[in-house]
Amino acid sequence: MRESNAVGYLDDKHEEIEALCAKYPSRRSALLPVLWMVQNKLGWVPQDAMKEVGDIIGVTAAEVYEVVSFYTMFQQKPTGKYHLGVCHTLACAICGAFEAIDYIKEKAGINHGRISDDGRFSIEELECIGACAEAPAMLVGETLHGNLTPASIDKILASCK
Amino acid sequence: MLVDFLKGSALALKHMGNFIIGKGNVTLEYPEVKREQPAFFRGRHRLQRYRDGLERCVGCSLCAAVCPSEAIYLEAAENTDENQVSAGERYAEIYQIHLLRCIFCGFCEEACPENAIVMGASYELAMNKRTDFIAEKDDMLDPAEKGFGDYHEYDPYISHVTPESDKSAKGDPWAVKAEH
Amino acid sequence: MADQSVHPALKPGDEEIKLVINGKEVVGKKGETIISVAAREDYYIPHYCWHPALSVAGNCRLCLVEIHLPNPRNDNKLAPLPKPAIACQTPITEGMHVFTDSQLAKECQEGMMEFLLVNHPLDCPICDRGGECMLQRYSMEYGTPHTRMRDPKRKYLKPEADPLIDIERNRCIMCTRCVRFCDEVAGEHVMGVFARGSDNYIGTFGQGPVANILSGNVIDLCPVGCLTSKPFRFKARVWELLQTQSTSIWDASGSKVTHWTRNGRLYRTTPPSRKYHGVYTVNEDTEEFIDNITRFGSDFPSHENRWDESRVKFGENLLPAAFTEAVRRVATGLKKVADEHGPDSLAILVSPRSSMEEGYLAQKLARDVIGTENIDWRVSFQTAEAAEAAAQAFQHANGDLEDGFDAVVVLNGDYLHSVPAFAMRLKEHARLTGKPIVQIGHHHDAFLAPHSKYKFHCAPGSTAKALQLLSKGVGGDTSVVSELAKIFSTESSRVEALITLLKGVEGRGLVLQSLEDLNGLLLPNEVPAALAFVGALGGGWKYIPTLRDRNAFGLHAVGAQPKADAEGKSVNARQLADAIEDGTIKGLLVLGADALHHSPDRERLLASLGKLDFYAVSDLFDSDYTRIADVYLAAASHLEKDGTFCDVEGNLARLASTEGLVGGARPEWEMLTGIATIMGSDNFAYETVEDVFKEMMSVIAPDFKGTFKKLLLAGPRNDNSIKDPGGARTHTKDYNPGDYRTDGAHFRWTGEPVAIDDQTAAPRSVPESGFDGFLLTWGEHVQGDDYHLNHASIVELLQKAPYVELNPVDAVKLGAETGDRGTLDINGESYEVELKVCEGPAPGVVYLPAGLGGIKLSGLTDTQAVKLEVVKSNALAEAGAGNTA
Repeated sequence: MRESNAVGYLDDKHEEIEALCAKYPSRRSALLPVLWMVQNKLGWVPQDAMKEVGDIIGVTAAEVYEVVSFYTMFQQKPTGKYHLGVCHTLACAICGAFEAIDYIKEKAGINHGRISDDGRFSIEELECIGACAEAPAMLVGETLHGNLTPASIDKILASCK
Repeated sequence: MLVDFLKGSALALKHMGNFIIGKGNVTLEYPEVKREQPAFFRGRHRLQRYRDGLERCVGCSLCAAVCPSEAIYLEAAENTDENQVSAGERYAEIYQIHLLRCIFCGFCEEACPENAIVMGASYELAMNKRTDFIAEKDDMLDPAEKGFGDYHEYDPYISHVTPESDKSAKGDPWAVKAEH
Repeated sequence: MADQSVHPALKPGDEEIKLVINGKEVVGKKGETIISVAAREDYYIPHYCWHPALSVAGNCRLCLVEIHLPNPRNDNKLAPLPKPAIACQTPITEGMHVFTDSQLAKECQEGMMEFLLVNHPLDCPICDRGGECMLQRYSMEYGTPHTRMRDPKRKYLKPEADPLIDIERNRCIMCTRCVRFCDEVAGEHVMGVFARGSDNYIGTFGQGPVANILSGNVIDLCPVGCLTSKPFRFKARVWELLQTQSTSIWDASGSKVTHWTRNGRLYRTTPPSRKYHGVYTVNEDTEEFIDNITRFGSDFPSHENRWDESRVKFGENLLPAAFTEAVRRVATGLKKVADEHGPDSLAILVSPRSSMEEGYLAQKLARDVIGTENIDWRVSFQTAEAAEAAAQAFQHANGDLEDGFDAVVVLNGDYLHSVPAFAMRLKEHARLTGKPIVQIGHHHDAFLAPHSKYKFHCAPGSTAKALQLLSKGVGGDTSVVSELAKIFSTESSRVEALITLLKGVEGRGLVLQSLEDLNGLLLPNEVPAALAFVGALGGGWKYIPTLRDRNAFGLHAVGAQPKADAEGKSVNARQLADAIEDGTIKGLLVLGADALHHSPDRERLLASLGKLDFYAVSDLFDSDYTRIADVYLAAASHLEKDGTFCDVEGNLARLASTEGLVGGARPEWEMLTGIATIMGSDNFAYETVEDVFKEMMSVIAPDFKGTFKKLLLAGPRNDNSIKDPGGARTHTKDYNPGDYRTDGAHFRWTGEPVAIDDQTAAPRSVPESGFDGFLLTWGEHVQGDDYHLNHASIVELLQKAPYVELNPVDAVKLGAETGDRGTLDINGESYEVELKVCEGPAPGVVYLPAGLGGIKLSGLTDTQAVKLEVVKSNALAEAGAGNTA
């Protein structure tokens, strides 16, 4: 049970969370979906959100952090509005993933770090995302784009408003 | 019998002749002239340094543990950014050797994992007071310019012992015995 | 062994399984794992992650053994398992053949050691674990002398997480013992394994501290040098230290400890050492966990403020004097007062940290030599009646956790912060066996809460009434249910369930009562109620009162308080200030002035001491109480003297001196012997403390069959500090947890049955609901202000920020959450406190641990309404700052 009514990231989601928790035999099973709520809302999972999630689910912040740090799909650092995950495992690497990454960085204005200067894009190099048939491939949010070429990258970036 | 006598006289005459022509003297004009000691000589202890002046001793107390006469006493402390005494996190804040207890066996030198304490070449150990026989760290530390090696070569995260080095580690691993 | 009807390792009713380990036929019970059976049979299987007190993780893989099983499809012929199996997780089965030292097992151990060392730095010379490190030992015994690892090793940044625990992640081998300890034993999942795969590391969330009174145990649990003690960091190497088996003086849990000393200084305190290959060393597999105060706080005797010379008043000044002269002064001073004003004008006060021998001699001096009943140790109680009630409680104490229990009723109190190790053992028993804990009262222990089946809150002062009604309820009276439900503000069905549960316990039950709660203010009502409750529950139920004061039970046993029939006629510790004020008491001897600091009215007591004709005191330090004395006797500290202590369960333990006396300090039994002899007694001819012990035991426990030396476990004192060829110099001897319960040395009292009348059980009037505040309750905190603890080297590092506990219901009303700050108004003074939301206090009640942060409770005479206001901090912004993993 949540012990206080302090302002938090999930204040508007309490009903949804309770419904989720009811689905599982124990409350802590709802940890992953609740973390996804945070990530979907903020684009990443800040540490104070981990505390909040822990309070709601009934586990300690350390336990939440164990989960967040285990799954690389939970972002522990701020992301841009559009998070680009470019695969750089074998098939994609052979088909030019690194060139694609360089091109994306240049086009999206990601000059240092992983977020573009305007905060619109962030980039991450992923291990195999299972789209070897369409290598090089990239995920924008949850949407897969395959067979990347400079032209298609331009198009994808332009569509990300 | 006579033959033996002549043999003995010949030897005596030979040494007398050598003395006269100044060949093969074993005595020296001590203390103006000091005897060169072989590399394995176990004289007064020295604490060595790295080239950049940092102490090699990390205060691990292995020398004190191995010392059969319990002549070594040391207390360690932690290096800070302001006060970096040795390489690594730890240094010997107090390092004393009781030279009257010490039997100069050289076990400390053997036990030292850092090549910090060595038995030096100095054999002049006479003192005026009993208290002087307790050698403090400052009495034993090499001057900074005598430092050798670079402590960055020492990295606890890189293993030193490999099967190869294990086999080759015969003889004296510290070939250089720095002069006193 | 196998042909006996019941194997000694088994209990009747256990399912017996026969197996063969290394060719020897052994017996285990169903459900046991190979490693525990092997350990019992003295086959040592190397292990890192397995710990007898923790759950099985099975991730270090060092305990791999070769197993052959009978194959039912092949005429039950033995067939090897295709792969080696880990001994820590494999349950034993009938006919199993285990090989712990076969070629395969050895190869597995060798390979695992190489894997574990892949990323382990070679910094043993500077590692504090060096010399007692399991990695070093197993490397020598089971490992290879070389590594094939050529790549750079994994490196982590070093976090500054805990003020007491140093974390060096590079050395970690991911056994997760610390994580499991915090989660399972200490009760909070504050440490965790973060990241994944080879990037794994252990730590705390946001690099916060491991804020728990038991956190120091992870230092011993860590088999490598990852978690080491910060106060002990680089101070000495473990093999240089002299080990002495002794006991804690901080709380009445009776923790056994090993003190590690060198040149008269205490370097560290750990649970009892064990012997490993002939060398005494820290016990990684210990189940005798100790609290942080015992572990880190015991070095106070070497504080610079120590007065280790006796002092005598010359004019206005207290000047150093010889011990004999000081003793002579005390004897003549006491004699003079007794001659002038009669023996009852003298009083003797004993610190609850004094040993039983000292208490025995003090009461002998008072009764036989002086001829008065004015002897007491119960300084810390709120009222004289509370002290008397405590004596009544002790008179009925007969429970012991070692015997186990089927249900336990826990009354008011913060047990974790009063008797930490005892509370931990209680919780572990409940956690591992699933036996129910029932908490009743205005304050519950939040530490026990997760394992409490029933929790009933009631208003402060109603506990006695509730117990009276419950007694009737278990007697079959169903009319009390509705009234109880009203007191507990709960449904009748839950009360009925509770009564059914209590009635259903046929075997052993325990009732626990904290004498600490509200400094015993409510004890005059609650003790009779609890005792009547125990009586109503039936013969299988036992009673344990708990008190932080280390030797309260021992001093009660030797009679260092007025006899029951003399209570009221004599002056007890809580009446002392009054008696001095009105001139009844003219001379006072205080043994251990640290006790006076715990008096709830210490200011008044201190002021009254000036009116005494003669005031002598023994202590370790310069303090307000010693400075005004006529004679100051320098006392030997707990590291310098021998003595016997008794814990809440009635077990005796020996305090042992580590490296002898310091300066002019002498143990109190010597002082008392001297004083009594000079005062004209010839019954005080003791050569050693052992003589006192023998006489004492012949008086208080004629059945005692053990010896003083046997009690020590440390065996005969070995004075030659010559190095054992095997390694460390030591005073210790093989330690078996059961050893100290020697025959007859286990105190269990049987008091008369107690009945409670309605008047005693009547609820105290408390402010009605509707006032805009909280009812304040309080209790002693083991980490709180203590004159000795304040001289420990780590006192700065202890978290002594004052906090109040708050019920979740109230927290929602106030809009507060754990970590918020608030202001608490007591007696017109305002204190800043941290809020801790937990199941502890009843709704409408706040609980304040006494002695933290200098909050004065001395003016309090009853529970009273206090105001608590929440200072809302921007919790989100604060938490976000400085969090970089």
